Amino acid sequence: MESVPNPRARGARLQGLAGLLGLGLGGFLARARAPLFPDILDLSGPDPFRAAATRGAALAAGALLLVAAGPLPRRAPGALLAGAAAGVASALFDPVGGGLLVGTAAPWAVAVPWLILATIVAAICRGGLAPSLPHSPPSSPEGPASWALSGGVLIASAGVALGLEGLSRLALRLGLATRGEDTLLAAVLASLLAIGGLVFGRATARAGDHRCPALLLGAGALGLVALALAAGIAEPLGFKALCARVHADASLAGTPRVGAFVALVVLVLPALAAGTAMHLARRPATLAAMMLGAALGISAAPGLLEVAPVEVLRGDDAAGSAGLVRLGALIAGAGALLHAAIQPAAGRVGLAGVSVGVMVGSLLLPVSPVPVLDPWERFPVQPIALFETPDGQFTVEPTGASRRRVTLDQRALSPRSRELAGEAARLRASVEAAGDGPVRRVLLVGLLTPERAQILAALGVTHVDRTAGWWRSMPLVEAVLGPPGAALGGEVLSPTEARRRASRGDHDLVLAVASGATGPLPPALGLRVGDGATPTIAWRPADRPAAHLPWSDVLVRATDGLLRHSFAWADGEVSGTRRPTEPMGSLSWWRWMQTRPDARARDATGQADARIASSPTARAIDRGLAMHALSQAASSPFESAVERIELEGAAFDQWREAAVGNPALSPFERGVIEGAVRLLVERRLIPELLRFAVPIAEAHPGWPALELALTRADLEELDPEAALARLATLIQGPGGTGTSGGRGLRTGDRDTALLLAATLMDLDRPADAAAALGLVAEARPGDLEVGLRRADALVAAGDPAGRELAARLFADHPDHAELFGLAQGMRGMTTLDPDPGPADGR
Amino acid sequence: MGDDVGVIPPVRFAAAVILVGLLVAAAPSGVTTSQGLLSRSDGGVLGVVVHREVRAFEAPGGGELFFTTARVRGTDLATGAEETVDVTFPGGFISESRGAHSSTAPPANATRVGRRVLMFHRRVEDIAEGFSGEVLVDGGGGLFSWFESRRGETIVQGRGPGSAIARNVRLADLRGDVRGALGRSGEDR
Repeated sequence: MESVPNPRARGARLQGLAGLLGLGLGGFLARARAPLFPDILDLSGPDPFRAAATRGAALAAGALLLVAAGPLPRRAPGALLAGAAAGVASALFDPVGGGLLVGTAAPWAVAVPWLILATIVAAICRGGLAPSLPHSPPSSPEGPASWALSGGVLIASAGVALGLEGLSRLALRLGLATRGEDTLLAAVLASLLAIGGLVFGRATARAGDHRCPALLLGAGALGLVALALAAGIAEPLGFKALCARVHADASLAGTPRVGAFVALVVLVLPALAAGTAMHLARRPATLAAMMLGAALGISAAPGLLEVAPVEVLRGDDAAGSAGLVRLGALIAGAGALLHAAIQPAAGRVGLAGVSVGVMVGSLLLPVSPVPVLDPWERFPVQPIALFETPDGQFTVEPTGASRRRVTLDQRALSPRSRELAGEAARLRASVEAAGDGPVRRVLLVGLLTPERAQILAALGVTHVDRTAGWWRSMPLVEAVLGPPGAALGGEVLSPTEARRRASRGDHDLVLAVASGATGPLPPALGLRVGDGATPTIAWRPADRPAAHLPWSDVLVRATDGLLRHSFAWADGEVSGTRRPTEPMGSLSWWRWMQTRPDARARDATGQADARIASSPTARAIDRGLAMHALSQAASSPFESAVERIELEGAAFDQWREAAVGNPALSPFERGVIEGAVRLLVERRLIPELLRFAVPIAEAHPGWPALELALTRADLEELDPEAALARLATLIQGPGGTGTSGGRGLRTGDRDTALLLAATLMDLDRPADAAAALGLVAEARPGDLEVGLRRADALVAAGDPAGRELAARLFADHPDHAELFGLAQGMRGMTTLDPDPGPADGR
Repeated sequence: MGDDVGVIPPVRFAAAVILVGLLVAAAPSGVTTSQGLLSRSDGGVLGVVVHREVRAFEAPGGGELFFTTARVRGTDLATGAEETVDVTFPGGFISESRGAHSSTAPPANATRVGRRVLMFHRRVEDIAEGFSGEVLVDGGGGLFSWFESRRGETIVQGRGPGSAIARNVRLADLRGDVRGALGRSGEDR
């Protein structure tokens, strides 16, 4: 038999064993937050119901483990809690779950908690733990050990877990974390539980299981106080004040510092009380009841969330996560009341009274939803719709002219107006890269916005099935966005059904759009759906680190026309760029998390570009892209998207060399060249534009984008005759869209028509300028720029139709000074101020 | 009075229209509006940024104020005389984390070393902590760019309606307009 040298050593051994048990248990719970081994259909995060069930099952397993561990937990509860906190925190090192230290921690570190857990389970099975403990009676003297008495604890724990779940949802949203990135929050919560136990639990003079329900009741009630705190932080000024406490600002939302502090402030009160309760539990049954209660609460949380009907745009009738906190307090009160009714100990009357008070207070307390909107935006966000479902908080915000952008927990599900060019390029590149045959049926992983529907329809797609981790909310979101504006078949599918149909070959392409709501991307992410017969293209969110990610052998790339580009993973018969053999970047997850959110895309893309450029198969275009990406730097938020882009002369040299020497450029390469030209045009760097574009235009005659850019250069050089001659050649050329020659040049292309009109205005031919815009104005009656320039030309020509047109447009744009002036027959008006400055054209 | 309020006699109205027409016809295209800017500036320098420096000063209420000074080597807009002028504007970064963005500063790329600029400036005493010098007039509104065309002309790039120089203009035309405006301004004084 094993000898125990002395009580002190025995105590140390107890502490160590309990700590190891906690480490294994905490590590296990942290890793069982979501189903393991996700594939490309899980890119948008796990299904919340499946995730809740997984977490509940893990907690129930943990409860069984504690029961099996016998008296060990009650002999060293502090060590158990501290070990559990360390175990949860160890998930930060875990590359399998997308932990924060991916790329930094040694690969073997991931196995440590599992090994510990396996060792402890094995020891329990062999009875290796129980004999090492001397027999001692429970330290709770009063009352018989009864499973019935644990019923109240179980119910109260379920209430506390429900409240903590509601608060955690708010904390994650405030900290700008995606649903899958809650490792940090879990570590903060576990640490608070341990601190509560070690500080307040040890300080309590008389431990005992009968005190647990009272403390759990306190945790439930404190959840309501924490809810008020969270509501204060959700206000922009509150959030900024909170950030200032940790020497940060609102733009750092999404970094560990701000995320952890938000979690700390929101969870501290109920978590400390719950931790104290855990420390005071002395019967294995009580601790197990707490764990089972938590399992029940967390499993049930998604189903208990109040969801607003779609017609309630701001969801005022459904409290969402805040409602969970209130319900949690109510259930905690019920559990404590039940315990008071069964437990014969002194103080039962007081406990019953307080329980009733908390229950009545929870019922009567008016709880409003806590909307979380971007406090880090320069201008206040005014959502068109805001509602919460089990999948998270959805907002629909206006962007650009009559367009809408959707976010899930403040992470973008659809692009802003200014990002649409990139979105269109990605969809086009996807369809072009997916095999030789036509792409008619698509499985879209993500939101089908009207813009995406129109682009896909224009590319020949006729059927789009949609899926995502948040698929249950998808019909609601699509209803708020309105009709797609394109005749497309298809339906919303669960990931399971989508996987089944894709495996059956129902689709020509599985396409995952890049989404800011993407969860962590583990190295084990499966790129293949089914047997791999269906081409799969998944666009990597630009701001994700590339170092540890799975990269397919073929990369699909697309550029947005402003020298920003995207990569996609691919599987199946997909054409694209060969991936370099080196890892795609060295930016660790931890470094990435510490990087300012607005700089993440720049850093991650730069690293990936650099790796592609260092590959033996890299071309001049790739080298230029790497130079360009690595030259980018932080810019002022007051600058436009074009102004923020740094120009690297050597990159332009590489691109020019690539274009001049290659008569058959790929669509991506042409996109890069056109992006470079567009940037030089918009920055009005004329000598640089001529140096770059003229040799390419000579090598590729008739390239419309280049000819239009050179026309702009002519106009900048005050040479409208040369500009007109160039435009005439372009419009009347083989690929032109001109309808007649000479003075009556007309084109149906918007940009060309606007440029032609500007040229004719410079030549003092306003009537011809108005005519040049005729085709486009007919085709796009709602286009403000076209209408404005046409009205200006007509007024300049003395045509009364100009004033009428301007008056019609002004009715739709009552703040537009130039339109107001034109409606009165005055050109160049820049302000509606009755006493304008000298710059006004009046 | 009363009945006559707001009614302009036809003769006076016609005279006013003719006067306005003459003024518009006499004005060189695109540069008339620079007069307001000129009245607020001590001069304009057309040249190339050869140096840029960011300096920090203690703010009166605590914290730091950051100012960028761009050294422009070129010619005086009115006289054509060669000169080098240090022009200061708010904002800038000393290091990656030490500095401030300013909503009134011109875009950082527009004042990088090597950029071709036309800056309207005026003298300000005690910009911060006793630092005095030439400041950019109207924030970013006093900054324009220029280039040499293929025909060898120097073109100053206008910045659209509402800007002091709305449309592109040849330097020779702008210089003549500025001299004229300064002459008129001197007579007014």
